[in-house]
Amino acid sequence: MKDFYKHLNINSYSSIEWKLMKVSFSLIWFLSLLSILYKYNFAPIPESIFKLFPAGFYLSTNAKILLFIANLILICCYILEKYFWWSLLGLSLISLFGFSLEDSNSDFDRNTMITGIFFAQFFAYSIKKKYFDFDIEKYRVQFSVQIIAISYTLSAIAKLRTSGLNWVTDGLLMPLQIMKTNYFGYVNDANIEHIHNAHHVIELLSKYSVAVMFVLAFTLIIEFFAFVSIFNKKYSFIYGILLMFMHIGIYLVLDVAIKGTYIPMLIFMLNPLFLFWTIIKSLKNNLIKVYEKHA
Amino acid sequence: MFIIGLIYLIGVIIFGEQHPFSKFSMYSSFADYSYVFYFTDQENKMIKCTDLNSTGTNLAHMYTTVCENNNFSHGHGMESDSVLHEVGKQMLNIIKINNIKLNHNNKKVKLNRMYFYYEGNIIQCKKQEMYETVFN
Repeated sequence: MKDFYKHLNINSYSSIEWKLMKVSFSLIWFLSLLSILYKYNFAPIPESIFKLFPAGFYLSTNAKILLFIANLILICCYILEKYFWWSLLGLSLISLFGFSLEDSNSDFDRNTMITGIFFAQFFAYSIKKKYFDFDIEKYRVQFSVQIIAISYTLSAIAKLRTSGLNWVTDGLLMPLQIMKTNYFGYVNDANIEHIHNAHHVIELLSKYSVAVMFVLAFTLIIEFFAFVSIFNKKYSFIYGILLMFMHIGIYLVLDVAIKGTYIPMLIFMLNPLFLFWTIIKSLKNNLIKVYEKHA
Repeated sequence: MFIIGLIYLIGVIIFGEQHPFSKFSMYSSFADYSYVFYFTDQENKMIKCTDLNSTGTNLAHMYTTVCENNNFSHGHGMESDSVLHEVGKQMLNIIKINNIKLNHNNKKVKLNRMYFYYEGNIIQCKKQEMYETVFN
């Protein structure tokens, strides 16, 4: 773990940290696109770039295969850092296309961060092309964190603009939302457990209404100050932990897991693969030490 | 170097809720009502949303979009039966489009709505059938 703390105090990202971020991010992007290509052929309610497409857009099986292959090649180039600027441009555009297609089917899965991060990294490498002394090792990740941080801050601003500080006290109306989101789960998979969970959570929250308001106030503060995570790597990590707890709370209470938001946040703020890699490395070193002592 | 955050912010102001920009306004208020949509078959047995390439969230968003595209006022259970019928028809047409490859053997599918609201301190639920169609 010493290694990990050491990495946190250096306000730049090592090659292995960056590689593991790319691998995790590529995987989540690959699975997202696969799901979109499997589910959608049309854009019945055009949103985003599909407002520019002619009516009656149809994505044929051949086009899907082509898109899938292109995406696979671009992901390989992205991970191996070959034709990096081009691969980032390609991935940004495919991501924009894919998630806009999803939105055009009213499937708002809040995946704006994924496209935003590809564009942010593309932007970082575009600056590097022009300014050779640009600290790309730092900014290719920091730009990604900026997209994540601004999204959370915007979420807090939206709450303050719509409900003001009353958002905290309005939380007493939350049982209706709990009912809704748990029923969403129920109509998806017909598992009655979602409804039992809704009644259980509502009963629990009615007993602790003051605590609910306190948690909501805390959530609003965490979201509003998310921009702090931009300042340095250590803040970003600490903020990542706070946001992770916030998402766990949302999942337990509302039965809602916003994958397009919390997964990029975990990857670029906490980098779980790197944490795992550090633990394995440290265990290996300790085992070698023990072996050498007894040999 | 906070340029990306700034660009995103400007993008949100200009383009609003258009991918990849978003105001992240979900749960920015706690409404005093909620809607849940679900499918049933001819025997009124629930059909899982996933069986029709959909989700509960997906249907809720679709409902709002269809209402807004048709300039139908919506929320708080104010929609008349004819509005619900028309919205349900358009929603099922969209659902059908993304299920053309599935073999439903002339299956009857009904779209229904649950309306949750408070009566005093108690949550009430009103179920309404919106539209029925045949998937083939």
